[in-house]
Order: sequence, then C-alpha cells, then structure tokens
Amino acid sequence: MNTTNLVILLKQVINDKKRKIKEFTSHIDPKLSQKMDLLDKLRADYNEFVRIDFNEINSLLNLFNLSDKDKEKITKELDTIRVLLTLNEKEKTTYELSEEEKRTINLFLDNFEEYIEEQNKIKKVIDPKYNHDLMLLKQYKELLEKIINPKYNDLISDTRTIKSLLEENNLSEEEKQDIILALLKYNAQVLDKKEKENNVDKRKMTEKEIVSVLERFGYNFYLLDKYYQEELKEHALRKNIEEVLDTMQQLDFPKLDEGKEGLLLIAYLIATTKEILEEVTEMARERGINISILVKLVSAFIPNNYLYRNKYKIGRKEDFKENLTTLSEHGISIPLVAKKEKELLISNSLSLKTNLEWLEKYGLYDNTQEDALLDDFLSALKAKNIPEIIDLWIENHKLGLTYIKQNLSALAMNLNKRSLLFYKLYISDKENRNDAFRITVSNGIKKLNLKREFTHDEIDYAGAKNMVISESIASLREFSKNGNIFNQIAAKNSINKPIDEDAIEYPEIRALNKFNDKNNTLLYDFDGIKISKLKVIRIYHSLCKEKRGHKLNSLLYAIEYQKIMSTDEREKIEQAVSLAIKWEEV
Amino acid sequence: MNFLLEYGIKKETIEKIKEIKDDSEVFYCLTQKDNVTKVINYLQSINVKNIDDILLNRLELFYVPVNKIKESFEKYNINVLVQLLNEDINILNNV
Repeated sequence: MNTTNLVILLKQVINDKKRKIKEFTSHIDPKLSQKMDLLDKLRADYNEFVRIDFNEINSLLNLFNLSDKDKEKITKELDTIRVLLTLNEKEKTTYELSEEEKRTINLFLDNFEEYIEEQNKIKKVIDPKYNHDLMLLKQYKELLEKIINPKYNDLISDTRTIKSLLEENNLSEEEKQDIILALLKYNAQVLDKKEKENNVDKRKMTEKEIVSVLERFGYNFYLLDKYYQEELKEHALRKNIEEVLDTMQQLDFPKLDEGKEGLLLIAYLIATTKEILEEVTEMARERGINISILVKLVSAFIPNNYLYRNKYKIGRKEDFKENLTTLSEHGISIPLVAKKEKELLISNSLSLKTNLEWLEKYGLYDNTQEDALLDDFLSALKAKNIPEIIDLWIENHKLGLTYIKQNLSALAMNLNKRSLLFYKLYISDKENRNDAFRITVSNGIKKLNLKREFTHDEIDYAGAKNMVISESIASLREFSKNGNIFNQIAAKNSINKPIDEDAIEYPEIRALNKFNDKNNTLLYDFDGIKISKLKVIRIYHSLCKEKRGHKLNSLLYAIEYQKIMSTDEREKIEQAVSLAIKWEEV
Repeated sequence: MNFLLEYGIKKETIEKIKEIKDDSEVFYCLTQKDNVTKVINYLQSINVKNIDDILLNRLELFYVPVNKIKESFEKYNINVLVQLLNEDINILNNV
C-alpha cells in the first residue's frame, strides 16, 4: 500500500509549518501586552518611571525608531529624571521637571506608543496566519501519526486536513490523485480488517458447543484421543470449524475416522479455512488428484507460516502449489505421484526443483514405475543433499554409479561424507576385492545390491572405522591457511541452487579436461583416482564467486573436497594438477 | 514420534528421524500412524531385522497400505526376500 508518498509529504509540510511558526514568533514581541500596560501606567503618572530600572529603559529604547545619538541623549536625560523623581518620592523633595525634561518623557512615551502600535499591526497580520499554521501543524501531526502507527485501526476521515494538505503545497494533479488514492486504499484495508475481525468469533467454544457442531457433520467428539479433544477445546473457532466441516462436505471429502485419523481431523479444523479448502481442492482437481488421496495431505491446506502448537511448521500450501507446476514442467505425471508417493507433493518446493535439476545434470533422470511397490526416482526427489551424495557414490567405487542408477532411492538415504559405507567401498575398490556387491536378478534384469558388511555399520570391514578417524585428522591439516574459509563457502554453497555453468569456461577447468575419465563422462581420472567433475565445477565456482578462486590452492580444494583418499593419493593429484596447469602461487 | 517406542524402535532412531526430517514430514508420519504401526507389525512378523534402518532411509514404505505390501511381498519367497532385505534395504526397488 503506497502511503509512502503521503508520509513523505506530511513530514515535509510539518517541518515547513514548524519553520514558519518559529519565524512568526521571532517577529512578534511576546511581552507586548505587558508593555501596553506599562505605557498606560506611565501616561497616567510619569512618576512610574521610578519603578522602571535602567536596563529596562535601555532595552525599550533599543526597540524604538531613533538614531543612536537620540537614544543616548534620552537615556541620559531619563536617568536624571528618574533620580529627581526618586528623590521626590523617597526624600519628599518637590523638584519640578523642566519643560525640556517633560518633552523628553513625552518623546519616550510617544515612541513607546508608536512601537506598540506597530507591533499590534504586525500581530494583527501575522496572528491569523500564525494561528492557522499552528492549527494545521497540529492536524498534520495527528494525520501522520494515524498513518504510521500500525496499531491505529480507524478510518481516516479528516477531510479538512487533507484538503488543506492538497491545496497548500503546490502539488501536481497527479500527485494529488496519488495521495487521495493511497488514502482510499488505506481506508478500504481498515474496513476489510474490521470485517474480518467481526467475522471471527474469538470466543472459546465450550465442549458442548464443539460436540454439537461435530455431531451435525457426523463426527463424534468423544471418539477423538483425549489430547486432540483438548486441542480442539483450546483452539477451535466456532465460525471456522463450521465452515470447514461444511466445505469439506460440499467438496466430497471422505469422512475421517476420529480414532485413527484424529490428528488429521483436528488439523483441518484448526489450521485451515473454507477459502483455502476450496482453492487447493480446485488446484488439485485440475491436476487429476483424487480427493480420497488429497485428504491425507492436510499440509497442502495449511499456509507455510502456520505454527502448530506455536512451534511446528506443518504448513505446505505454497510448496504444494509450486510442486504441481514443477512436476508438470518436468513431464512427471501428477496422478501417478499422488498414487505412489503422495507426500512428495508437499515436500519443500525449492528442494524438489533443484533435485530434479541435479538429477538431470548427472544424467540420472528416470521414469516413474507404474507397477513397482515404491518408486525409487520419486524417493530420490526427497533427498536433502543430492549432489554431494552422488559424488560420494561415484568417486569411491567403480560400481557406485551403476548402483545408484538402479537404486536412485539410495540418494535419499541418511548418508554423508562421514558414513562408514563410503570408506568401506573405497577400500574394497582400491584393493580390488570385488566384494561389495552381489547381483540379484529381478524380472530378468540383473541388479546390484550391497552386501551385509557394507550396509551394517556395526560390522567392521578392513579397518574402515579407523580410517574415518585418521581421515578427519588429515583433512583438518590440509588447506590449513584457507581451510576454514573454504569449508564455510563450500558448506553455504549450492546444494539447493542449480549449477552455474560459468565455471566450465575457466581456462584452469578446461585444462583439467586432459584428465577426463575414458569410461565415465562424470569423472576425472587422476592416475586411478576418480574425482567427480560436477563437484569440482560446483565447489570451485563458489570459491571464485567469493573471490577465493583462480588459485592453485582453491582448485585443489575443489578437487579434493570430501574425497576419501590416502596421503599418497593426495600427493599424486596435487602433482598432476600442478603440472597440467602452469600456475604460480600468488 | 514416541509412539514408535512401543514397537521396539530405538530412541536414537526416533531422535535421528526428527533431526533429518522437517516438521511437515514428521507431522505427516504422525497422521499416518495407524498404517505405520501396521506395517511395522507386519515386517516384524516376517522377521525383518533392520526396521530402524528402513524407517530412517525409506520412510515412504510405511505409508503404503499394509495390504498392498503383503500382496507384493507374497509374490516372492518371503524368506529369501527378507534375507535380502536384511542385507540391503534397496532390494525394495525390485519389488
């Protein structure tokens, strides 16, 4: 809502008025009425001069339109007159003032009168303006306060202030219209808010009331788990639960089982609204999602910013909407996803998007299997760190890539660079033991499966556990100078951002092409040591973006990133790369 | 997720699930509690040993209606299937 311009204008005019008022007060004598009294007294009896002290006479004289010479003359003479009059009063002498002296007094008083008249004239001119500006300043300040105060919830209706504001300030027609529009919008929003507040009955419902509402829609409150009964009593809003139940009925939602689906039911009742139910159901229907499937995805009906029990972010409405678009764009059948792994529809939309992109980049994109119990491609899309995991699989065993191609779901497993599995695979491959995988035949197709020693951490394999410990010490030593910064950048980087192709053009990256693996386009081969190309590009590019790239050190970091290897292997890589790229360490 | 404890699932597994899954994923699991527990019971009845692993790594299995799982599993020699499953849970991709 654009009241920004209005706020700026108000602040400007307020400052302007303040300035003018200050100026007025500098022109007007604040003690004018006291002076008028004084003049009256002196005119009535010039003996009053006795009671005016010397400084006051001087300051009065300074106000008069007299030359300095005259002012000096009058000062001296008045001084003498005062002394005489004082003596008369105090010592009861009877000095008479000379004509000359009387003339001086009259001159003083005439000038005094002239001064007062002048001031009154000025005041007469300034006062209405002064008063008017004072009044406007007050009104503008009040208006500004209303607009900027978020707690102020009433309509803005001071038309006079607005009229003055628009008329007084040399605004163009367009600017005036903008301000009026902004005010209209502001008021419309206030009305809207008030209507919503009036519509939400914030009174807590009694148990009896809740029971009765649920009964009307065929639900038995007492079949709910006691905990959910309490939640309803705590959070149910009359108008909302009635509307939600009614809307669910209208939209042919299947009836939920209070006992088995209690949590689902109360989530609908307390976390969603009629409008959202209608909106999301319509969206889902357009994409071919059956209502009997949709009903289980209550998060699709809850806004992302909703906090269940003030703590848990269970809402995925915005993600659901986004995911429908993403899946369609990738040609993935939404009804099939809804049938096979519906919860994918309410996964984090950014993750889903980037997972799809990474799978494409690595050439691991696959079709969904209609007949399978579970679909491994859809499972893979739930992964939290796809590029890192793919790299770990393809770098540490020559059959790693085959295994994940056949078991994409492995990418969503709870694995990371510290997982014992990868150390076991590394050792098995390096020592050519050929003992990591067994082949099973399924529907006539040969498939790889991992052996027990590899999938069970409690089973040691060739000292892999020890290697994990020594590896972590080694990697701490490396890149000690820049290690921390590099680690931070790499960690912050790109898992959930699509790959940036720019780095491919760097000469140092192109120079690495001589190490391309002959059998696998995803890998470099440094004298038998396999490194993921996409990993190097991804990590190196993020270092370059943070101005830490274009050095041998950073390139080596990207190559060696999370690679399990011995010290010898590390040296081999570093030597090979240094020779290939004739760089000088800066 | 503590309802899993009474089905013999380890506390560390439950903690890990809460750590790696986001709130909405955990919430979904809770709303599907009924089927989840039925699947656990079924897997235990056929001697699957690494249920904790499957919960951690292939939670979606527990959302498949238990009858459908039974139907698919019974196409195979259950003993062999379970043996292979105990070795590598990704055998589920072959079912």
